[in-house]
Amino acid sequence: MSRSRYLVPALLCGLLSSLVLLSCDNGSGLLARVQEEKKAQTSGPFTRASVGDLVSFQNAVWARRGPTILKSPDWAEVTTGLPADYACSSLAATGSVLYAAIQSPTAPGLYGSVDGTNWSLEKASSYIESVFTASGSVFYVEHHQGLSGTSTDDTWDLFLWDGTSAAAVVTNNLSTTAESGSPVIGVVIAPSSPDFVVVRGSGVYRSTPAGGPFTLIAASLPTNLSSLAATATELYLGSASGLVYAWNGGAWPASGQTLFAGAPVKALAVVPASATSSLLVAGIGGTAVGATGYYELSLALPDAPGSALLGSANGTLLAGGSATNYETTLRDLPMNAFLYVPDTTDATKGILYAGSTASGNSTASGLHTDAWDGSAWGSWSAK
Amino acid sequence: MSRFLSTLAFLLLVGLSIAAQDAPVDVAPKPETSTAPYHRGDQAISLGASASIPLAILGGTQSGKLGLGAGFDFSYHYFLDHSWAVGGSVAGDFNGTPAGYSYFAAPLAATISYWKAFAPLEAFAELGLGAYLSRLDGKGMLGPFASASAALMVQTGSGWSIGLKLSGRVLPEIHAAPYADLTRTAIFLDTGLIALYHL
Repeated sequence: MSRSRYLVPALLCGLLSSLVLLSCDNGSGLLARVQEEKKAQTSGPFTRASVGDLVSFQNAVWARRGPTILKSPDWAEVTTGLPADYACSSLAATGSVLYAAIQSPTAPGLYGSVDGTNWSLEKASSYIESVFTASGSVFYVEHHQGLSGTSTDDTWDLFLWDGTSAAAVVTNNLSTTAESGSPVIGVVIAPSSPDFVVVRGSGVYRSTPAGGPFTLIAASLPTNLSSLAATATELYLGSASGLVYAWNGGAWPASGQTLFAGAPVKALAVVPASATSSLLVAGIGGTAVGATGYYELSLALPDAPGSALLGSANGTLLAGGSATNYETTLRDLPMNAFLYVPDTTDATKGILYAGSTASGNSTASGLHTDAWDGSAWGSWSAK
Repeated sequence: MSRFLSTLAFLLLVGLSIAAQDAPVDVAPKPETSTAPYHRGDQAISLGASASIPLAILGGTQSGKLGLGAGFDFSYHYFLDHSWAVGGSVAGDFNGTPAGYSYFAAPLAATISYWKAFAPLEAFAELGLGAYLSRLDGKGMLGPFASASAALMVQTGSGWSIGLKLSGRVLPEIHAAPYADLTRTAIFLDTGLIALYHL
């Protein structure tokens, strides 16, 4: 027997074995994924819809589905008091009033509702694009185009709305910078502080004292910020380039951590991971195939730059990441918004709402929910 | 995967070509009443088509289930004496998932079986141990595999027997740390037709 007689079969067997082993992914639970799957809903209020905002108000949830406003649990459209030709571009709520930024040829402006059903015009304006709330204060953003005589000129001005006909302009220190040409992503309370923090497309500003002039706090400016989530002690920011920043109110981190290179982090939220710990969940909302879906990151996310990011990245769960259901129904959906709502009778339980753009699949839903029972998550349910 | 399917297609064609052959007229018929018609060195192959019934996915807290599916198997048996045989089998099961994907499992197993004939019937009970490759939406896993099967067949002449086969299959999907919490075990019950040919 010559050695070459066995060489080719052995090489072929080795090659085949290698291909089989390479096709295996220890981080992908096939049967675990089957257990998490839900049958796709063929029709519903959010089928092939895009959900941009999710707001909790008075023990219910309001969703902005495209330009319309829908209220849980039956997800009926709530239009009383709104102009017939309304288009909602933003929703936010304090403890007592639900606000909506409304575009309309007839009666545009900032609308409010104390019961979440009947709306009234609070501030007439043709330019109000978005509305934010922070610690009971209300901010709205006017988006002006072409004011300097060029069609490409965009400016965003931030106003503090005190409920009267006049609104305080709080963009005085912001408008003198290039940041006036950058959209406002959100307004939140600074970590461990009563100060306001304004997050714009490429800058983070802080008012000291609260409500006063805003100053730039991000020494190393993040680029193209696209989402945020805040806790009492931490502010998390996502960028359009796939970075996640964590800021504890001290020195601004020199760099962010890459979650998904080149794809926007469009939504962030802090949700329970156990009875005593939490997770940061991130929604990727890219336009490229695969640059979508739901990810989980450990809240051990360091403030200091350069440390390893725990969680999942680019579709692969990193070592040390917690159990994840990133590879689920939401995997192929461009995510827009998260909202975690604790149960009103048992705060150890709650529901995570996930809004997405479900236009690429005839049966896909733009709104899913997952329930936290105090110790474990359930599975995604399409609405 | 294409290599696996090509191999499977080849084996099916071989089985069909054997089935299409006329019985040699000068071959002495096998004893029809013997309870020990098998001898050391005898060989047999079988083809099966079955319904794949997923009984459970053990582990985890969520409740999504695989749907009823279809499976096939090809087995080879080599008789050690008048009752015992060893061999191997390759099989495949396709089952739908709740979200509309297809879960595929392809076990490859070494088998040991015990045979009994009660002309015109013959039956065997079989244990299998091996490994399986599973695929779901572009992801794959390897794992250990165990099965227990029983078949009851009617001898139809010319070396052929046709009957029913029932198999229980256990497919653990084991994940190493730090993904140990993804470990699950699927249990299937396959029942269907079997065509056996004594070579």
